Amino acid sequence: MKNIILLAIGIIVLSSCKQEGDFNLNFKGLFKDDALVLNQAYELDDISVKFENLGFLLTDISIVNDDNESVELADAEFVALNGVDQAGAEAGQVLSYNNIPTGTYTKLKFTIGVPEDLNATVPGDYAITDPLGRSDYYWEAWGSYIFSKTEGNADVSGDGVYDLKFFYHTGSDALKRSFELDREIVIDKNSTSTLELFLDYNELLRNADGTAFDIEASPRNHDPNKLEIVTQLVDNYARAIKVRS
Amino acid sequence: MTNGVDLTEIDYAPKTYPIAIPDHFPTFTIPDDNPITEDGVRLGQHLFYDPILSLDSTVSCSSCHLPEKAFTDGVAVSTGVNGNVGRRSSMSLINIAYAFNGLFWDGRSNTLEAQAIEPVQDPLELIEDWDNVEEKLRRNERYQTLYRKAFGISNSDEITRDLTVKAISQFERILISGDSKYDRVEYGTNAAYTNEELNGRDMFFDADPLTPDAECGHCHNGPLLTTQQYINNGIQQVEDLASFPDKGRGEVTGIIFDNGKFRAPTLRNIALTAPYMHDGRFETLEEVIEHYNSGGHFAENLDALIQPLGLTEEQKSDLLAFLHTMTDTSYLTNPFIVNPFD
Repeated sequence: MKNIILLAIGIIVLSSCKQEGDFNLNFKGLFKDDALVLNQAYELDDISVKFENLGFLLTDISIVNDDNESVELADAEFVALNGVDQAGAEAGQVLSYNNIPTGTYTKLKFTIGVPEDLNATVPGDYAITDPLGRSDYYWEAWGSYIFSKTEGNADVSGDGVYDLKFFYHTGSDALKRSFELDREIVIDKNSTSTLELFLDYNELLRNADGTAFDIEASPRNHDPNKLEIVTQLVDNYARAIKVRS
Repeated sequence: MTNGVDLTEIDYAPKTYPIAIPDHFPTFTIPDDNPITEDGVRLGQHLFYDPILSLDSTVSCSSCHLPEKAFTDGVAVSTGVNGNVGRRSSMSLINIAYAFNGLFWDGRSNTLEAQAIEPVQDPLELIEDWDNVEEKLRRNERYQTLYRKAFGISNSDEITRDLTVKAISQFERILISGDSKYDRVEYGTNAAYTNEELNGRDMFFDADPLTPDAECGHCHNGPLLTTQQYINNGIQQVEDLASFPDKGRGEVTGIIFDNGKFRAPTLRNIALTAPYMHDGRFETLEEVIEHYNSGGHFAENLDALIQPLGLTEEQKSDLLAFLHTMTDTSYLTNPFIVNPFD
């Protein structure tokens, strides 16, 4: 009996000494230097656009320390950049992870999109509230999750009427993009570290030569055989993602 | 207030309700404080079909949610006590357990339990005061027994609105439908569409580059046939976003860009749920298809996927044939679902 009590005390002491802290990933939409507010006009070179629906599936999220030891944060998350006013846009969406071992991490890893094994599943395989249970982010015709949605309205004639609907949905295995961001992330005991990640839509909607997408000519993508514009969009993540801690 | 009736002599032996979720369906969350039991469902079933919840005992939940019409009522907008006319069409309750993005056309309730509070006290629906409902139920011997069996209460005074909406919610969570031809073909192994249905299916889901994209699958896909998102589908012509006669989602969020947006309903059993749209403006599925084929009315928040489709008469007919594959009334054989007073 005495041994059991001592063991219990030992476990309690060890548990209370456990070195853990919390970590927040804070995603925010950006247009150039401004927090991106939905339904607000932005100038994409010579076309005025308003974004209406911005979201993406994030998978395989982890942080890595100098010893290349990885802490998995989540298999999948859904991020919606749906700030409809300045305060909401500046707040962005926070993904919270608790009980992370303390220490200094040097890398954040994640994928925008869904890895092949998970992309072979369907929303019906998950709970309705799971990020991968969202049927609005699954496209039957592709047999794929929709990795990201960029939807909005454009005023191509300059008459103040945003009557050209545009949407760029990415999906299918070839369009997922994985990232390793070198960034020092210090997890302290009993405190919360936050890393801000910005996605600049001014960078996202550009061709390889830096010119803006011709939204008027290609306002939508839906033909699996014409993936040029969305391939360019996912390739642009590399320059559109900006990080701040 | 009386001292109530002692109910402890009545047997209380809760048994989990064996809810049958089709293999191809996602799972849903059952609240920890409201597990589904056979006696809980039985109580909810009685409450759902009993006009006792209304001011003059003339209207029940089932008045606007008829099981044979996939729990809609077949009219454009529903009628409550005193013939009061509501402002929106009754929504189907089929697979409502999966609602995760708000209930009602505008999403103003987040849970079934919160939703069930509203119709009783709505001045256009049951027009009753919850205090009165509680008193009526506490005095009713049938309900004394049913509440005891469902929740283990010791005294009839423990019958509350909270337990009432919990029981109704338990009942609603078992309204599962997943055995239509659509389910059997898409997720089973031994069924096939007709040529017309298959053509309709390919247009619905944009699955064949040789047929037009009818754009339906963006808002209605998977086994639940809804994405549960809020959209302006272009049915209302307005001068500007402030002019929608029914602001829908905007009424809840206060965001002008949400004006005129409504929750995309399930298309399961759509052939049984006429008339269509939040205000029941379309009497037939043919009219609905015609609307989407037209591209709808422009507004800045018109969904990007609503656009003229250019479907031929034959293609529209094929689409209609596919919509009819979504009918499933097998739930009507479940004695826990049908009217217990019949």
